[in-house]
Amino acid sequence: MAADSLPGVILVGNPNVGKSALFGALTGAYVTVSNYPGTTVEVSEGSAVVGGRKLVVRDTPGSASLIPYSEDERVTRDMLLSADGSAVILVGDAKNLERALALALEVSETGLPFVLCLNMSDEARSRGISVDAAALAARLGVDVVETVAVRREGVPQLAGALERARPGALAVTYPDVIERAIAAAEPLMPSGAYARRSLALAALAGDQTLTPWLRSRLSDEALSQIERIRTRLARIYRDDLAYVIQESRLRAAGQIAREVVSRRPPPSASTHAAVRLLDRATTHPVWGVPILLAALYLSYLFVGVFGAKTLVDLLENGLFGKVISPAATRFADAAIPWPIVRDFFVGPYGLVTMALAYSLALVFPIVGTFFIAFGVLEDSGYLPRLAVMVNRLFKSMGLNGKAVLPMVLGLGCDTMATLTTRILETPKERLIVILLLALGVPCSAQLTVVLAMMGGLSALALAIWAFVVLAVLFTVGKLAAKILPGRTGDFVLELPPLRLPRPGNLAVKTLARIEWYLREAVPLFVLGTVILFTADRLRLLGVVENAARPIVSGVLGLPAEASTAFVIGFLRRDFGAAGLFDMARHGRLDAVQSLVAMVTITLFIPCIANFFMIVKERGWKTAGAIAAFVFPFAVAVGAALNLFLRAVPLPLQ
Amino acid sequence: MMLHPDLADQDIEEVAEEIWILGEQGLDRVEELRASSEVGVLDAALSEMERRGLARVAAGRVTLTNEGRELARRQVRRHRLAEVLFTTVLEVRDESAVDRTACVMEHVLGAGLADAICSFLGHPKACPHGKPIPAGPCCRELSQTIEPLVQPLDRLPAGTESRIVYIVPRERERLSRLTNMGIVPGARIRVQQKMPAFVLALGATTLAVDPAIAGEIYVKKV
Repeated sequence: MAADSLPGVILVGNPNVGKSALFGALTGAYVTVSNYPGTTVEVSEGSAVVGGRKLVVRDTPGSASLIPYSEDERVTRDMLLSADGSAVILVGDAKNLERALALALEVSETGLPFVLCLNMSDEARSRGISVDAAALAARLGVDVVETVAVRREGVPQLAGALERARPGALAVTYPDVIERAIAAAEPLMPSGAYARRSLALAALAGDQTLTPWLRSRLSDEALSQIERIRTRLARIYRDDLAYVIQESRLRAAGQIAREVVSRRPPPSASTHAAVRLLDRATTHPVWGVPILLAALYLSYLFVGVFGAKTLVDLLENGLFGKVISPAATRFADAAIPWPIVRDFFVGPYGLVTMALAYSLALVFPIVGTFFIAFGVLEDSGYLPRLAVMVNRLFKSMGLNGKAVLPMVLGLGCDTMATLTTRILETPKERLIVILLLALGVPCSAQLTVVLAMMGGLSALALAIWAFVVLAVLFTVGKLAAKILPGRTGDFVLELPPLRLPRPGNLAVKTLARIEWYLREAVPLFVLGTVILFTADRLRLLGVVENAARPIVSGVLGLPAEASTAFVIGFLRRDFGAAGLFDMARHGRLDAVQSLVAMVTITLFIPCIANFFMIVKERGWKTAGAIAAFVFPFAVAVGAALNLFLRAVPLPLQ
Repeated sequence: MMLHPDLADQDIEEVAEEIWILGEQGLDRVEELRASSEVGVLDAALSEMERRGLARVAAGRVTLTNEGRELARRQVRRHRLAEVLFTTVLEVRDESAVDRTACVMEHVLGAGLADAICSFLGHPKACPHGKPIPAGPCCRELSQTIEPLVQPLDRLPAGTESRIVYIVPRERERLSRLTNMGIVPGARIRVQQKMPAFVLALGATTLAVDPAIAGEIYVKKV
């Protein structure tokens, strides 16, 4: 197919083979690239220029097969269903040709024009695996290009091959009974770019997710005929049909792989031995624990000490306290004659003195260091190994180890993490994780303000905070697992190789996230400040404080002015936490009050963005129910902690 | 009633087995039996079975008596054990040959021999198609006089190389999910660790798998 008739290119491939890295290399646009399966859960779009023509390139979540088992896999299949005229780049891991080929054979069945890209060919070479690309291309009937996407190797060749994208020539032959059923169902399928044979196979294999699509295109008569054929076939194979089909493909893929792959002993065995040893230790039942603790402690040193203390002091006290705020105040005093306008900029709820000081001097350095530490964890491939360590613990909460990925991502941003729950298989798991994210997983911004505030308290206080939050998460998780119907998905997770994070990707990723933070958070900080300023002018703050006093002062034992922090916590939880931090630093909260306030705001209602993401993913009813549960629950836990700490004097300072 | 001239004991055993298999699918209508039966003298076999007190036919439905169920159970057990033996130990790839031969064997295999095969295979719970194998006395005693040739992955010590023989998933979609990850009969697999979750190496791929799932993967040491 010529490039001028190509409206687009779709990247499809197994999880964690480097689709996003390739997307970046083709389009120059950045999407998050990490070393664990499930980084991409939505389709990203960019454009590339190939042969002088502009193309739309789409990056999809990883799929093991075109018969989807989770929501993110479904996104990919649906994209191909409506891919009319688009070409596919099938991205595979060169180290694992068999799996790449099994998916390639499936894409070949769809009749869509495609190119096979064998990515990470450097890792394959270093393990002594080499693929005869020409022989493979001849077998498949499409171009095969070897690439190293993160270094752009082979990417120009891939772009060139795109112009020659064509439907694959190789078809898998299934057992006779299945072939006969396909032959009967095929003519009933809607015609289009997506081959009828492929649709017939999916329908016969019992792919429920295809049903709505077929229903809107076929007569009831045709649908019931298909159902009859499927039932007849199901009588023979019962539940195993999808398996028999996939096994036929894998057998064909294995056959081809044996023909084109040659293995030599890896050239650098000694360096591998060290990495392998570390790799083993990360999931080891004994050694895995100190490694986990060390990773946590190093992250804490970098974020909690270097970010939250050193950098915040430098920016908040130094830059803002000594330079920007006084300068802005002097400037405002001299240039703005109206006190109300002056206050709007430099008053207690001023744009410079509050919005900018909070978002840039207080939260930004902590979030920035967090993004760096988090990026290192992501790119090293450690996160899936963490899933192995916590699998058993998570099982008691109706989850499996895989759920640790969205939970840890929640420490970055609960809103994004809520989206990532799509990698979980069952609705029950997704709902539990979304609830726990909204309830007790503090996002980076909030976490860091908490850490900063804990800096003024003893290690015991930090331990109490962590214990209460973790205890709440586990208790609520366990209860939710008991109450909610449904089942837990299977814990089967691919562990990518441990890799040294590449500084380039780390820098780009951190910058992309910081840009996102500035764009997302700073306007909300400004909006929050404007609301506070207006409310203060209209003497509404006093009203709010009075209204909230019974809860904030009566139940939680905090000063009434803390209620502003909680109200504004709806906008962004870190804004609320930053307000409390500010109070603590000016000596308006004692140790017990600080601890109670931090626990309460950690468990408090999710921020507006997170709330709307829950609405988008699970609907208004679920989002409302979660909010209705979280609010009184957070207050109750805070109140209980207050009573306990008042009764039992502990060295918190 | 005259006994049908072509009716043999084998036909009766075969029909009993067919009724059992229908029952596994929740079916019991005579016409359903007729649609799936491969016995030419079905009607004669059914009336003979009623006469011998092995089955009852009433209102278009057929049910096995206790005695008939015992007969069917024995047949199904032998048939499926034979299937496992052929596909896993002898690695016969031709499915129809496996089925044909298993059909013959189920009628000639004595009780003692069936139990010996069962022990040899490590008391498999399901046939290669995932259908349940009724337990025999040997399974209840868990006689392990010889180390089973085929055993669940979770019994192997860490570091063992093995080849997957069959997978017996308890949940419907699990088989396909495992297949998609490359866990299929014939694949070489190495147990790297067993705690806190299984870590398995398949070629260049490393997979973490829940211990419960590892127990459903049956392997042969290599």
